Amino acid sequence: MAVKTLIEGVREALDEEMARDERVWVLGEDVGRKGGVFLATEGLQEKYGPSRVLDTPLAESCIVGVAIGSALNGMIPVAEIQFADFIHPAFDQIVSEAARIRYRSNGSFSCPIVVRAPFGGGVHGGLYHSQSVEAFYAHVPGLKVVIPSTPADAKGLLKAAIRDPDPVMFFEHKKTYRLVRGEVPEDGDHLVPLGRAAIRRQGTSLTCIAWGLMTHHCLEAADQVAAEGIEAEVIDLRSLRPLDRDAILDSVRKTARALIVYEDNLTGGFGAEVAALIASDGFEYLDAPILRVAGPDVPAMPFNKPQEDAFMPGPDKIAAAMRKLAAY
Amino acid sequence: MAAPAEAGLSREEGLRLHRWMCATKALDDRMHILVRQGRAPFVGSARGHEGIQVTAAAVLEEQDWLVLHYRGLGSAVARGLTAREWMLAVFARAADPLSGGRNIPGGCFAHPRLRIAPTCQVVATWIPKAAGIAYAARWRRDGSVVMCTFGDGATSKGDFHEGLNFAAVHRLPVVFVCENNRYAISVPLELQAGNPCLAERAAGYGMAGVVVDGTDVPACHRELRAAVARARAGDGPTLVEARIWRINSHTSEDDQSRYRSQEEIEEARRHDPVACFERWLADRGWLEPAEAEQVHRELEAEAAEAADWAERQPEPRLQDLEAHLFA
Repeated sequence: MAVKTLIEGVREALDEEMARDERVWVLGEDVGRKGGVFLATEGLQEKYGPSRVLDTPLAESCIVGVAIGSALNGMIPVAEIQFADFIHPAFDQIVSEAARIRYRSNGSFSCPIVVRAPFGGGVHGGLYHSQSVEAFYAHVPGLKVVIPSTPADAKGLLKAAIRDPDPVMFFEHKKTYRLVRGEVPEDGDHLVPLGRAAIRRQGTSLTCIAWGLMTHHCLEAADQVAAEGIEAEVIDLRSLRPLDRDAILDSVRKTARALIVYEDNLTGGFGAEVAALIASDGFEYLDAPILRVAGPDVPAMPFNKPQEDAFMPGPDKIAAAMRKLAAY
Repeated sequence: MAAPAEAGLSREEGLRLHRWMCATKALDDRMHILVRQGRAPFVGSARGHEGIQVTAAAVLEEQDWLVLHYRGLGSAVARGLTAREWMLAVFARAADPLSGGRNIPGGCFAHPRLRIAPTCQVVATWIPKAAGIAYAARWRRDGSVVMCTFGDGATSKGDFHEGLNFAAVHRLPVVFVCENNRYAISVPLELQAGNPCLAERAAGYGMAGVVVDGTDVPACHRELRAAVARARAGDGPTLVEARIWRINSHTSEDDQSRYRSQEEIEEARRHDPVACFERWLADRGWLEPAEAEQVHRELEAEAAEAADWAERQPEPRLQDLEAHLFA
């Protein structure tokens, strides 16, 4: 297997699925001639033509609305929102339309769309190129919410999302795009099932639950505390919805301690839901309070570098929480 | 024999349109009775909209799509929605083909067999969706056209702009019909738009724009048929503004006397498209008043029977609350 970047995993998934099924198409701002601002769609327009790789007007609600309409009429759209920070105008289309079409029509219509959006900070993106938005969508019944953290998963999860018969929100942490490298299966049917977490590191001292870039920060933190005899188990959720409850609870049963790490603002972030799950269904396993390390409750990550670093839940902060938890 | 040139509407077509309008009115009137009787919880009335609505469906072919707003009962009826089907939705019964009792009647006209796309009740979200359906239709080269309807209120929303703009950029086979009854619930047109001619916005998008008297059924038929022909020929979308009068309150939860004068409400009743069209048909000797009355009585009886029948049908099962969330 070749070693590739995470964004190459995304691009391969799109390419293979477009080659496999002519109904699959890509739309978004700058996805065509430019190949996307992160080059996720580089080369696809030349290969599949401008009608299947469409440069849209700068209008997020239109992008998702058109995607939904095309799905109702037999196409399989992959809509790109250039930055997750700009997805809010499409919230109505995603929540009021896409998420509810199957339910609202009592199963007579479906909405097989994928909405891809780069999210997260640590890239000097400032307030409007750094946000984490997954909790908004993980709240909504009818949506699946997926976040890869490795190149192989980016490919396998995106292919699975495209083949999924329901709407999938696919968030890619932009800092992982070129930072994270790994082996990517060449197999055209390399699929990673939605709703299944991955254990990235085995451990017995505590369970650390994360997604996206935070998975890597947790692994770094786990390496730091391993020298002190703390063995953290790191779970990469990969899908927030459906949530792999068994993977979380099985691990907590083993370690009796849970730390949840997310880059989104602390209050109401998806980690709160994971904490509630552990509290209600894993209470008897616990020897310590459930801890969270998350972004502070300020609107978003500042452009200023020291402030950006202060916002980011980095390995040092996570390692400190691991020590605190292990000391109980 | 050729249809009269001035109307482009044959006697047979005219009588069919009239029958659909009467069917819509009968269902509407019956719903108001059901609400007053305490048997149904809610009615959103299409009174005053019947002419443009039935015409919008009548000019389509079988493979074409309808993307309707929630007041679009007349279009659904003309497309083939039966009185019994509609009453199942009114009573939120399990067999309701539109939403299985999940949405308020008309809130979702989803009907795959009739090619009526599922619509949302957040105004105008379905306009970019209609453009997307049309984009796929063009990509598939299946020759189909999308008919998308909405009220004047929708023209204030960003989705109206985004959907029309996209459709115009790609010259998509879609017809946008604005049923302009001059009110977004209680807000009059002059507080919604700086330019009261909504069709003039079409020029800004680079598409055809047409104003039609929505109480004039032959005129509606002529303009919509032309717009569909343009769409099917690859000449792009059209924005049709049909000017009509809202006869009833916004819904059974609304009291229009709080914001409309009695004179205006009475004036609106004088622009009832059903009555206008009956005069037009009578002028041609195609339908005598007594015959029209007979049609009304027949369809009122059908609506009443459908209501009584639907009321007896089973409710959705509680265990189906979570059904059809995912495949």
